[in-house]
Amino acid sequence: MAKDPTLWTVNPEDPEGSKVEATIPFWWASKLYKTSPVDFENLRAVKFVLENVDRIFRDIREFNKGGWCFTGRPERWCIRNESIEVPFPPEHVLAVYMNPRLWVFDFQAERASPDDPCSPVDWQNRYGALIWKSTSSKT
Amino acid sequence: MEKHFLQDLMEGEPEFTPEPWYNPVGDCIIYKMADEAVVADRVDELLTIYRSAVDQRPIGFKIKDVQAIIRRFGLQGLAVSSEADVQSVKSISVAVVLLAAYEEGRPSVSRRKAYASVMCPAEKTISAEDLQPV
Repeated sequence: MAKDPTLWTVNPEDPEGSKVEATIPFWWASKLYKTSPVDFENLRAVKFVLENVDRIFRDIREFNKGGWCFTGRPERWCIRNESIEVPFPPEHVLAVYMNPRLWVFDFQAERASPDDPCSPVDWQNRYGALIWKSTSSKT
Repeated sequence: MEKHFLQDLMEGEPEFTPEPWYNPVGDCIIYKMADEAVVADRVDELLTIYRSAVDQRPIGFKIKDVQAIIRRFGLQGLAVSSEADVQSVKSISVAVVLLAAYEEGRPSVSRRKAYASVMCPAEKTISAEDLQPV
């Protein structure tokens, strides 16, 4: 089995410090490749978000403690077939979910919060806390 | 289009498989019926409906915290009766997992409608062997 690829991203434990590696599990990327090619294509958008993070939230599940949600806004994404790329929809964010060890396990486009275009809707009730905002992102 | 950063790691051709599968790291069951990008429509803590980014129609769903549901109901309680015996559960019904998830939250018209909207597509099974946490 291939080595799990990694990407450099903001360290959620020390956002202003050195970057850390987030892991894209090989089995997961392969599963997307073999079940949903569009989702596999959109790992490009995941890479963009990890490299251009707007917001970081901690504690993402009620029944599983820990975990991180990184959000961002890719310029484009794939919506159908592998080759149809369009601009990422306005008033949405791409949320990338990671376990406490920074293994990416999910991503999804979500409507943006009315009070913050870089956060998912209802973020106040869904996550433990907003722990970091990019200074370069919209507020 | 620029080459995909993971392309060299993949073998064979990409393919779309409209079957539910369990993600052990995310502890969730994913089911997509069309190979299109989705916008998440979060119903509650456990159910997210996937709406097509092309035309907003529902094309799948995600059930989260599956191990908590299994702990509460047991695999036998989620099994497809024809595919289980006293000793072993070969597969579970995704629709029964969905019903179990519904029972975790407060009853409401909006939740009932949302769960009902994905109940027919959920008439699938998933191998019990695949439901191993990491």
